[in-house]
Amino acid sequence: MFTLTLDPPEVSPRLAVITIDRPGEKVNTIDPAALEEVEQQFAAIEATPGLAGIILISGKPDTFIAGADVEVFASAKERRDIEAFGRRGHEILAKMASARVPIVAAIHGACLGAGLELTLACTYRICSDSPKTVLALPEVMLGLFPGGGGVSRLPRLVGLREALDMILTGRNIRPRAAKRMGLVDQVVAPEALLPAARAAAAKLAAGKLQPHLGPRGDVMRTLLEKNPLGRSVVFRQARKEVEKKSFGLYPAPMVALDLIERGLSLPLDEALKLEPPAFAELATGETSKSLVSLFRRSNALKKQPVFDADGARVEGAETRRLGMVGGGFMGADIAVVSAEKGIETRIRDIAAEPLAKALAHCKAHFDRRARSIGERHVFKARSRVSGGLDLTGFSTMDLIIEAVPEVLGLKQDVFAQLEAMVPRTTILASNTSALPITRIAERLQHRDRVIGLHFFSPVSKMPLLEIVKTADTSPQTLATCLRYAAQIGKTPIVVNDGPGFYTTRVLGFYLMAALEMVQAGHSIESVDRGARMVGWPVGPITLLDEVGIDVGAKVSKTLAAAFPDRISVPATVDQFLAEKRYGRKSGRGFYVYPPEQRGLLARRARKHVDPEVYGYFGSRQAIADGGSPEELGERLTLICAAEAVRCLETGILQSPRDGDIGAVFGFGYPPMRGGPFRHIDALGPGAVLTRLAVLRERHGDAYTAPDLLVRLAREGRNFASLEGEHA
Amino acid sequence: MNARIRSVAVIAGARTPFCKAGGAFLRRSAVQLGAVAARETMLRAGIRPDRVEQIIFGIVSAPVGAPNIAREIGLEAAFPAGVPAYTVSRACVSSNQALTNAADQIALGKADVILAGGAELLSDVPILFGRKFRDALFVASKARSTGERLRAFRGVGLKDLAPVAPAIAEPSSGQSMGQAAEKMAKDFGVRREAQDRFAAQSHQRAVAAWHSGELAQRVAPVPVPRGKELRIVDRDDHPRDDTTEDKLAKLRPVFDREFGSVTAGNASPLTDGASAVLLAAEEVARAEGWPILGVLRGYHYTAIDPFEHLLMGPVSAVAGVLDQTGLGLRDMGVIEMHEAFAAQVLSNLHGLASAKYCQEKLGRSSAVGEVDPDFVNQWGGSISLGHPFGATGGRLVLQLLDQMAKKKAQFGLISACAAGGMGSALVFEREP
Repeated sequence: MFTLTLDPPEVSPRLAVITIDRPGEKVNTIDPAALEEVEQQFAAIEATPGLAGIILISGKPDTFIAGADVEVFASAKERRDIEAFGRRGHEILAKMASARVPIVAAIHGACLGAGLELTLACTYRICSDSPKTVLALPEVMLGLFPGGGGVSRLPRLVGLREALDMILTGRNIRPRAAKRMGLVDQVVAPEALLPAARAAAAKLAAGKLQPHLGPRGDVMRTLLEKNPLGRSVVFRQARKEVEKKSFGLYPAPMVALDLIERGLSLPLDEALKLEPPAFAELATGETSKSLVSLFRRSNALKKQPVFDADGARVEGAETRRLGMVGGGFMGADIAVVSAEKGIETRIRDIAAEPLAKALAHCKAHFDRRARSIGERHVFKARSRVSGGLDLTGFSTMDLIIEAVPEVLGLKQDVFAQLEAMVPRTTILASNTSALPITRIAERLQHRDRVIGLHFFSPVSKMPLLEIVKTADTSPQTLATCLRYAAQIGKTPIVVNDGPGFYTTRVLGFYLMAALEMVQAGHSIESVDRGARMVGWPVGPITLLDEVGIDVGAKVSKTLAAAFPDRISVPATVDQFLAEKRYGRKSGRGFYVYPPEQRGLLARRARKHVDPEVYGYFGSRQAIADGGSPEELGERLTLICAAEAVRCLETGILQSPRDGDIGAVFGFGYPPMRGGPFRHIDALGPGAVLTRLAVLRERHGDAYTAPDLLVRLAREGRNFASLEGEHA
Repeated sequence: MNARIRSVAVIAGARTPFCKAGGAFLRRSAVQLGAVAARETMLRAGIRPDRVEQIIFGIVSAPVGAPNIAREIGLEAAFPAGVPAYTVSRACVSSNQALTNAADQIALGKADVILAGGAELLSDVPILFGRKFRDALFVASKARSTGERLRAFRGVGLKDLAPVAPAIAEPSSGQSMGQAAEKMAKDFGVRREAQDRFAAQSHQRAVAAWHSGELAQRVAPVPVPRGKELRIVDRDDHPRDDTTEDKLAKLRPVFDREFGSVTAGNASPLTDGASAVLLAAEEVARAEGWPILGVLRGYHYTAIDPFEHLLMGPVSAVAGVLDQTGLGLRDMGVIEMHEAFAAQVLSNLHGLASAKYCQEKLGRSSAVGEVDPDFVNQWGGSISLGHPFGATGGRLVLQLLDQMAKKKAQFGLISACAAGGMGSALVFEREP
């Protein structure tokens, strides 16, 4: 993976260039074998006389190093194996940090996690001014922390507050911001990266250039960071923030804070020693293992194969042209995401106003991107989006996605219209969240090219794409849609057709249960808080307001029609709609959303529950003390998980893995549980069964255990054992 | 070189709305309008852009930073980067020129499919400073010190800062289009009443054609900024149904206040817009099953002395194309003539019908033929629809072919005048 190129002896200054290029992989990652190789390379370099400096550069087109190889933690059997890997890494980084010649890291592309930590051990860092170049320490998202020296070296290099921000959020830092904070020393054009690195190495060797050793001093830094009192203020504030956001469910940020705080009062080598054991402890904990499993499984889903009836692998066709029929902001978002990945997209709306709004939404997105990465990197994507008032030209599309309002007749009309004008092979997809695809395709002649592509809002941020296939959908259609998901960088789960498919259905039952709790007398605040206390990023009532009560109403009617014994649409819904209580989009729903205040003294307006709302729940009696909100959260989560089991049972879901990823990425099932099936396995199917029985006694049939769960508990099996059974 | 000359067909076409300059398209560019027309043409054809082998556009007021608008249009409309493009300029018949250039390439076998069009944005004409100030700016830009820079402006007075509006006049004779039309009206006896009547008819017909949907089918919507948002423009904004002869009669003549007859009302307005036409070899179109809206049977460009009757070019051009094709005016089921001024159209028709004019000026033995002014431009013309210089040719072609389809006419004729004393004429044929 590391190729060493030495300058010929006559060149002065004589430099060594190490090119990092992991064979057979799209990105570079660091595993134990890589560490051994690095050591050998450095030994070879130490043995070469007359070398003035070393340059590290990647041989991959768009990544520097994407981090440590996650398989190392996922497959490690013992804590001490992970600790040993960490110590070995530290050993090698320490050798680099104390090398007798300067080491310059030339960074182009993604420089993440252990990759960034590697460069922190170098003397000097140069990065390219490219939209592909990002630096980050995202370990916290996997329930870990930067244990390759990040928590010790980074605060000393860029300052405490900046380091806390990077480590606790894991967010991407772009080249210019990296230079401002001192994370990199120089930013150059991509084609100038190697020459600039060579020039810097030469100057460093000659003593003509001083490397950046610490953050720039200013008043705030002196007050807050350069003295113990200031630092304790910063740490206290940071701990408060973390506690508020995570309810103590995610140990990693707190561990990171502790290490940073202790480390700052120790010499660097002592601070570094604290990292490997703490890292290994987290890596073998349940939270990190769940998060890592989400990461690995979503990567696997991106590569899932499709087979035809004879068992032969089917390759999907590349989508070059996409037609969007309707869709408002969501249609515009899908267009933008597709255009940025090279797909020409045409948006069609039936009237000038909504078309203008959709195109303005696209334009606003491209303008923002242009401000961030430069217009020249946005020009092509911008040129790929256009709009019109009719379906002219849709016969040239590879894929057409329909996103008109959720009315069955309307969607059937659109599909019939499209079939009359497009070639036999054009894929017709619907973005419906709940209407069965089979029914939408009823009037068509050629149904093998019909499929559901359920996106999640906001499309640019939500990674999940729920692909819904019918009994008629051909393997070719499915393969092409999976390839489209890969083209636009989404994680696909493939589910079978049914009312609400998987995500909408499970979410529907979950939200119904939340509303039942309010009806039973619990306060909205306690229901929402209870869910967050058990790991939901957003409470159910808040979620309903965000999604839109009008949307929720339509979905609940579809689900009520399909499951009449189990879901009924409360009459309150129509009253809400009559009063335009749509949620956040109309300024009030269950919560009131005060308008943003402007001006110097404006405070950030916070939402609060509208007390009038309780009046809609007829014959509701408020409960003064309903027990802990946490129990409410637990009950809601069980309802959700039970419904997920039913989806697997009835064949909507093809595997527990799809259900886990779909739940976490589709509607925020507590990520640190890894998804509903992993969660049930962790608790034990038998224990869950017992709990459901107790809850059913107290709260009714909504807590009936699904048959599949009963069967597994009886057989002493779990959901993990079902992987691969449902094909 | 392949000696066989192929027949060329029009496959599809589209245009943007034509809007008064300084109005709806104020914040757009010629490239953006051209890109809408180009993309829309491909969508209507139902053909993917990678089939296009060349892009040729015509424009009169080329933007200073992007004179080869055809190339920028190709990139802006997401055509593959490997499609070469160039831009032509022949005043008001620039898009006719783009089209006939495209046809020549296809006929010679150098390409099978070419997109030809035209665009004009008069809302964004570059403001020029006088020569003295411009020279000073140029010297200042090369200065190496502040002192040197300041010295460059020595001798530049306040009056030198006044911008110079580009005149739509002949560089050679100094005569403006309007003045030329006035001269023709007087020399050929075209009366004020006839001009107003023709202009009012242009408006009435354009309004009716919009109403019935004949024109709407060719027009693609254009998003334009409105504050922070966008709005859609989807109609020509000049035709007015309340334009009558009586109303026009009240306007004062612009180019000759004493004895004149040409007014703002019976002249074409300054307009922004773009058009595009997709051409292909007829044999390729048939093999692919593409719709053939019409086949180009012949075209002719002529030039006359601009010091004489600047806008009489169409007469010789029409005469020439009829000779070429062996057809007569009576064979034409549809005739589209560019209306720079009502006086100009009526003068052209006079010339075609006048044995004297044809003998003296064209050296022909007899008149070319008579055409009833009511027969011409039955869906409205440049006076009412507007005249974006570079784009009008495309509009004439599309309007001609659509009318030919509706009337099941076999032959159609287009004529247009151009600054510099030139004329252009084209004949299309349609399978009945």
